[in-house]
Amino acid sequence: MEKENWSNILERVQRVDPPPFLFTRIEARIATRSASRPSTSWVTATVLAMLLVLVVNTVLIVPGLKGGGRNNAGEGIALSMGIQINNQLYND
Amino acid sequence: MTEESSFKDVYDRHVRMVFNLCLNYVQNSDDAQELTQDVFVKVHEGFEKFRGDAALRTWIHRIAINTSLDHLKAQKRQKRSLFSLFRPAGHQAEHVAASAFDHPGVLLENREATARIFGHINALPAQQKTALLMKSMEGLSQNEIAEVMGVSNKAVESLLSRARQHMRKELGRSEG
Repeated sequence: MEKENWSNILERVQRVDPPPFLFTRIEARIATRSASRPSTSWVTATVLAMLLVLVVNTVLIVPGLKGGGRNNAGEGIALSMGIQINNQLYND
Repeated sequence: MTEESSFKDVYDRHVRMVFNLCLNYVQNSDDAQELTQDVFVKVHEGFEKFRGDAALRTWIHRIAINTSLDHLKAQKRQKRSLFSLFRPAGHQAEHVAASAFDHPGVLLENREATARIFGHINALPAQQKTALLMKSMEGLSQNEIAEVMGVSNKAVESLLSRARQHMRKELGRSEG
């Protein structure tokens, strides 16, 4: 093969027609893609629900953290059942 | 005119160009069909943004090039991981080029020589390969190639020169 002959060989490559029914297959793919994509209303509803859960959790947790992080309800229950809540083994 | 009918019109005007462009990148009819479908799905997704024939053609060209290059990159990655288990690295490119070559536009008597040339084209860096295919196979001018690739005229000139140099060197080596 001559050094420059390669470009002549490339020029001899013929252009071919695409196969028939390719457009039908493309249309089917487009239809499948748009069907599998969730609708905007569903996405909005999901985002709003998640935001609501986040806000409710924040509202419930933040005041508890501000109170010094002590579990007062747990202490109450332990005292009412006569359970010791410190590590002291002997009562003076 | 409805959106679907104008998309069909765009498809009719560009499908031959897209299919042949993909074919020149992958040299395999089945892969080229898959890529043509991918390209037109992408065209459909971004269709409304484009007005004006010249921009549309350039845009479709770019989508076809990028889709083909992405496919080749993925294919290369996949084959590299498979081959690395069983074969030494040096034989990979030649083996892949010879086994997957199925270009329907190549006459039987030119098949062997063309497969060898495409084997060397496949080894070029992506930009050199694109510039060479656009020039030699698509028949685009240097200006058109620059527009499609989004680079300067000078850069295209340099890419083409390096690609031709590589081809001369590699084909000279395989001759001698």
